[in-house]
Amino acid sequence: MRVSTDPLRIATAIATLAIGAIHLRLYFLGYRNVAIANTGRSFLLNAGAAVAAAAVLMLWWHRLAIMPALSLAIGTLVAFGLSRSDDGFFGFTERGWAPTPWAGASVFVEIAAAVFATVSLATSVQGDAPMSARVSNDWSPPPSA
Amino acid sequence: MTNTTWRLVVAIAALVTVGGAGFALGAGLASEPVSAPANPVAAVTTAVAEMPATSVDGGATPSSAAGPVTTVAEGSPASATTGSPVATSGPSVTEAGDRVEVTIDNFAFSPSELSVPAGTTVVFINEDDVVHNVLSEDGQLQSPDLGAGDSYEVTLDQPGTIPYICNIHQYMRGTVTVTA
Repeated sequence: MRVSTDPLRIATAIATLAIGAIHLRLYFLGYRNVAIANTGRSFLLNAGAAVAAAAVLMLWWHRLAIMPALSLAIGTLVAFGLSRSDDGFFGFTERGWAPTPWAGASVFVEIAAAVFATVSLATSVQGDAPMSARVSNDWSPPPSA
Repeated sequence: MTNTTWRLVVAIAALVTVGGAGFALGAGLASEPVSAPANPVAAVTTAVAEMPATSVDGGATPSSAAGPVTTVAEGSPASATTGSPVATSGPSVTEAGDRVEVTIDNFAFSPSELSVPAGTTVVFINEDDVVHNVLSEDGQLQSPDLGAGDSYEVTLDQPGTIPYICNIHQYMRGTVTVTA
């Protein structure tokens, strides 16, 4: 199995793993005890999904592999925004940038992951070449694909 | 999927990225500041309005109710129980000036409903690893942000019922009833 060396994919994967790492840290920091709508468990799920998304991104050549990481980043951003609303994220509410510095750091890497993923997707689509050929120079689909 | 379709996907992804980033940043900036709530009365009023009726068994709101009403009885230790409060029957007969503890643990106040005589000092202790605070509508309870291990003490002299919330996690609610 070949690992991607595309810089954009690598950057996306790193940012995605950072999203998961922060949420895992928050899970052990005390958020595992938030019982509302399984919010606590959702932090753990986020960490697991981040690892899976990063793995897919690095191990599957197809541009569809970018979508899980992009979806995770966008979804986490939306969840953060909802948690700051009056109704909260399924009832869980927080205010401002608590917990500091994790909330701010999380938003930063989520935006970074979303931007990297979008740019990676865009560069893979550029031009009129067939989809299967739009990959980085030294990352090609396996012969069997 | 054709290249045109993928270009459309990219455009949508870019829009969603910008929208998601703006939404998250805007929500973080627009939500109440952690240490200085812009409108604490409104925050507590809203939270109190959504509170269920006084529940002795503490089961109406899983996230905030941590147990039944705790009444400190004569002869008991000055500190309220922590972890597993048990309601006692009969009126509160603790002498004024005693200290009663309310722990903040697992994103909940414990006990969530407390009854104390006037003159009692209530000590809120944050046993969570995240920051919480204590805020009441009438201003009797207005703690700074409490980090792990921090505490906040307040002596309550006026009889009445004081609903309070954590202004950071506004679904965390509790009530202190001060008896004459």
